[in-house]
Amino acid sequence: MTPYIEPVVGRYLNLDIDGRQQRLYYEEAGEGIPLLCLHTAGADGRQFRALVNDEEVTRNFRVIAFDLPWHGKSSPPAGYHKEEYRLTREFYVKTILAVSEALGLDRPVAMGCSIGGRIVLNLAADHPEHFRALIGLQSADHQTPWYDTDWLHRSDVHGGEVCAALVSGLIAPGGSEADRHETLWHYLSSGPGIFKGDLYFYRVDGDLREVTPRIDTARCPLYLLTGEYDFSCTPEDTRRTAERIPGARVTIMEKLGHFPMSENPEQFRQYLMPVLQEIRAGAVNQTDAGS
Amino acid sequence: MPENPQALCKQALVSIPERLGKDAHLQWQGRRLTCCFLVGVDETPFYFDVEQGRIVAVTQGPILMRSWDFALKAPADAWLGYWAAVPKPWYHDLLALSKAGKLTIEGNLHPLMSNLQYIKDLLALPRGSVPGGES
Repeated sequence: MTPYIEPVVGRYLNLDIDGRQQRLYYEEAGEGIPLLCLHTAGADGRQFRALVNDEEVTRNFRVIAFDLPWHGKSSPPAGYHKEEYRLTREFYVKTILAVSEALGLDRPVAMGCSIGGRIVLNLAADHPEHFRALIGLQSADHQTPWYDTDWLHRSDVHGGEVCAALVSGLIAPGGSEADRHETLWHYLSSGPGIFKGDLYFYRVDGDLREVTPRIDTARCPLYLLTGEYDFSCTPEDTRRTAERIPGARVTIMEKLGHFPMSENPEQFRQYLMPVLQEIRAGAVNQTDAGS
Repeated sequence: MPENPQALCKQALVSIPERLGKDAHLQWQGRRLTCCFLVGVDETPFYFDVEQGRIVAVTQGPILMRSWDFALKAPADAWLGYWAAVPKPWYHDLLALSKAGKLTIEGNLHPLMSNLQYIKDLLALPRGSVPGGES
């Protein structure tokens, strides 16, 4: 193989979130409409490694994937060693808005998966003016638990291995072994208790059944794409969520599970590209109308 | 459904030790596991004796007063679905079967959860080799 360098740039953003100093890592590539990508619980921005390298996307979109605090190459904040990590809905929203503002993004598209797919529903309800479109992957207002999260962080079970083993079943069969195991590597190498802490938002602080009726898709288009093999956020969970949001657009993706952008990027882009084209066409139309 | 799903399940389960014998890496992954676990097919238990990741015996029961550490019990059609070459959604993972209400997980879960990928991969070894695995 001929060595090559990807057109992806990684940088660190230092900022205060909720009165606490954070050092966040982000990667980006491309120019155009900002596309802010939100990773799943217990993982990091590497899940979007194919998207930041997709020239058809980066030709028209500035793709940005940041690691939440405590995740990937972002640091945990000073004092982390004296607290149990728990992601709250309020902190999650503040982080996304703070990153968007600090990077000077003009009404980005936000695309989140799993917990990221959940939080875009909250953004759609309470902050539609900040976004030109929202994309929820594996997104639902709530869902039924399928294991006890206490197993994720204890001294007598390897945290990385049990996290990866649990989520391995959420990947659809038939994709490449390399992408399956890269996806699992992010879980294998996550910090202790971080996946569990993210699931506090997912299971306890993130039930959005009372929030989604406030969503007005006329103010910000909402696309929900869910893989058919995801038994955590199931296609039925997404359909049920969308039934309460007039104008929400649902796509059920074949041969994909809970990590579409990471487990099988080629299959995923078949579903994502029409959405991005539609968003881009909307932006072009708005420009035309304003000129 | 095949004519005799239980017989097909038995055939699949007893084939696992030989399949594992050809997979040195999977044996290595289970190197810290020594236990007995039970795989239930409808009402029939199969006892898997594991020593340091190697299977020393698969024994069909029931056996009176036989103890085990943890048990995975499902109807034959659920196991056949799990062993399909490309399992359908809800049949492709032990926890998916569990959430779907087709598989129960009982007993002391520590040996299972501390070796979860090994157990999943071990029980998936017959995948694609069982006729009728199309739930």
